Amino acid sequence: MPNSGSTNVATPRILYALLFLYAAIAGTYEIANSVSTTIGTFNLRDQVQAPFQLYGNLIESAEPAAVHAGVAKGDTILVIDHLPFTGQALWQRIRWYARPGDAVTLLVRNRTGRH
Amino acid sequence: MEDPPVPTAVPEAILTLVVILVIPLFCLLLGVWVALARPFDPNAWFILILLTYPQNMNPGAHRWWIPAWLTLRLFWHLLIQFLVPAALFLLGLLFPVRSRLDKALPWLKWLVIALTGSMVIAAFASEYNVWCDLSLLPRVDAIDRFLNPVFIWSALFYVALYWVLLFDQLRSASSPDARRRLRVLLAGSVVGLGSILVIFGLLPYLGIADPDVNRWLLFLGLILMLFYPLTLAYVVIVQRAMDVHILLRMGIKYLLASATVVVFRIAGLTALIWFVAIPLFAHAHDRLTTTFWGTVLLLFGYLLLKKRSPTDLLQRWIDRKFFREAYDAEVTLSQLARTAQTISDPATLIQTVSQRISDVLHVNRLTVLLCRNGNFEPSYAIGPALETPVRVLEQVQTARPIFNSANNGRTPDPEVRELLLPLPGRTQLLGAMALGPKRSEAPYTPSDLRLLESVSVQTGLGLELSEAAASLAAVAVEQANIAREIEVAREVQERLFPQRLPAIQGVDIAGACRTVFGVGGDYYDAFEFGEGCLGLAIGDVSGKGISAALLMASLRACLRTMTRTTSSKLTQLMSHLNRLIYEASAINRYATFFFGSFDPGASRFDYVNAGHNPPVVLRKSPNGSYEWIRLDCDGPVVGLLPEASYEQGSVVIHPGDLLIAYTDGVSEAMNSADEEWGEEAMIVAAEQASDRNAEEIVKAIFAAADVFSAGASQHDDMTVLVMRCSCTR
Repeated sequence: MPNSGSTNVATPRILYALLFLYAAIAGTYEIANSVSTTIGTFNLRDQVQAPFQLYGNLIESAEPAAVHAGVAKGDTILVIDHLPFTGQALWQRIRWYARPGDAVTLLVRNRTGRH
Repeated sequence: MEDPPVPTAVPEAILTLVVILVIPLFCLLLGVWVALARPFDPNAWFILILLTYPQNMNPGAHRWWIPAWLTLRLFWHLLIQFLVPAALFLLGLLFPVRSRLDKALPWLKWLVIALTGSMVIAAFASEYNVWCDLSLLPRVDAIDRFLNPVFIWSALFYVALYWVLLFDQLRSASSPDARRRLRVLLAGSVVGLGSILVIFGLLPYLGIADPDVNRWLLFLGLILMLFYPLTLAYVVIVQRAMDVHILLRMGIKYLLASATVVVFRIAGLTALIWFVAIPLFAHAHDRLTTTFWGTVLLLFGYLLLKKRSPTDLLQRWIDRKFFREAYDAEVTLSQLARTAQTISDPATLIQTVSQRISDVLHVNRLTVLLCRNGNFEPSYAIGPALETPVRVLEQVQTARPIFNSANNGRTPDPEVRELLLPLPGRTQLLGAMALGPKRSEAPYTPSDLRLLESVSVQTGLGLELSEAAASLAAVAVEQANIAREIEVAREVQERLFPQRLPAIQGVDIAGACRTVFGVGGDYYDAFEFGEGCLGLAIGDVSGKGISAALLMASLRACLRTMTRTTSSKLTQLMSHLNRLIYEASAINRYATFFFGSFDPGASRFDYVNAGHNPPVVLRKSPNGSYEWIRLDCDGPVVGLLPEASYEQGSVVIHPGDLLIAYTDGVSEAMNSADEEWGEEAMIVAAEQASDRNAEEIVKAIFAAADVFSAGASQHDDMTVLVMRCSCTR
């Protein structure tokens, strides 16, 4: 039964390959999480604080500065820094590279539908 | 954009890093190790997933994630989030063996996997929509509205089922090992998961204590939480689980002794950083001061961490102090194998080896069986005696330990922790040691078995040597007894030779006997009998030693009795004597014998010879030469034939004549070249001493024989009887 032998050998190989893949992803995640959390916890990049919290393109909560700028909870972001708002990843990237004092332009639609 | 966030307080940040980074990394490595060790065990994979979950304990971390890695974060975070409850349920369903629920509903697990897979796909689509492409769904929360409740309720359902299945498995577990594993898992689950529930949920909810305020509570919660991943790893990794109370006891011992050093080291480093480094670098403005204290810190850190540091020395001291036996088990057993050969007393050897094995391996019950007359009988025991399958021992060929199980030791059964340790000799099995389970209930390790085999081989050799020594001692005692008995026999036989020779005017008599074994079959005698006659006798009983001496005694007794009670002729006397000896001795026993009667008045010597070497009368002629007269006379040896007739001979003894009677041990004395001395040489020796008295002539003959043999061992008893006559008719 030549096939059974190769199957028996292949099974642990597949399992070990799967384990390696799992460990590689989890390890990468752990490294990325460690680096990101360390940077954030110790504010190593002098990163700006988010003026509002998002869920998708909906503003879930707004800090006083954002409210002062006319942004309110429940508004929908349409454009950010002249770019169509595609998702939170865009906002994350803008915020990552921003420095205190930088301005960001938003086009939002409020609950009444006004822009 | 707003100002950057206020930097987190340093101690709190360190704590955050421990929670967010160290614990997840530790759990992940533990999980990978478990899966690597048991890749074919699905439970190991479930545990790997469960131990990946601590990576998700930082829900707000996405705000700080580097944008390039955000996709990885979304995917992995979601995957683990959904897999963990399902893995927990599946662990309860299949650990340690298939549960009754799985046997009743085997499709359930596949349903759970399919449902979880579907939820993962849906959740990933939702997250992708929210983060990367809002155009996929017009309403961003469309999926979440449906998915969130399903996830929450399914997760709660899975967790609840996990506990139910755990208790059900514990109740229905078929083997003690499975029950122990479940008890350990249950204890770890209660402590680990329960601490999270109580410290991070119940206490803050009831307003009793908040871990965010009471930091010690937070640390306690984190430490207790680690019990869960550790027990998860333990129950899958170990070949045989120990019970919870034993684990606790061992764990406490370990913590108190070995880990104390680690704790001391960590505490030292933490204190150094917390109380010195942080304040120093937070407030220092003077570069010189900072450099100085930085150098001091580095030095202290080096001392704490370097090899052979004080903490390492402390660790070794603790090991020696508290765990010496266990720590040095290998060394101790190796030494025991060597010392086993040096103990000569079997009982001491068995006791020493048994006690040492019991101490080192923590075995409470040990029975030693030794082979006595073909049967294995208990010889020594520690604790209640163990039952041993003797049939197995009878088939044992090697010293390899046998698992003392119901299947007669053919295959190692991990549930059976009793061992049979054969004690082999060079040619046969000398016995066996039956070892009960260890106090820890842990199975015997391959290292234990290897060392025990070595100990048993050396013990077997030691036993064999000690038994051989005991046999030699017994033989020596027996030989000493024999020697003592021979000495007694020699003394008795010495008394059978004439103690005082007859004092007859003009007759000088002397005789001597030198035996090979202390006692012998040679005989000589000289006594008065009849009317002033002198009886001379010499004989040689066949064989040597005690048996010959006994026949010699019988011959003497018969002769003495007959010469006193009858006055018959010598030929009749010899015939009677032959008859008596024949009846009193074994069929193959006989004696050559010569007896003569000297009448001093008539100077006549009458004699009969029963096959003995003819005595010689040595007569000096006027010209100084010597004439030899052999006292030949035919007759068979006495004791061989029932009836025998003899002839009597007679010779006239002249003044100055020497009568020399001897046994063949004298004339046939040999040197180292196997050359015989010979009758003529003996007579020449007598001639050369003929001017001396009888006793000196006897000594001269023996001395000449010794000169000839030149130290060669005497091979036969030697007897010489000399009569010198100076009387005149």
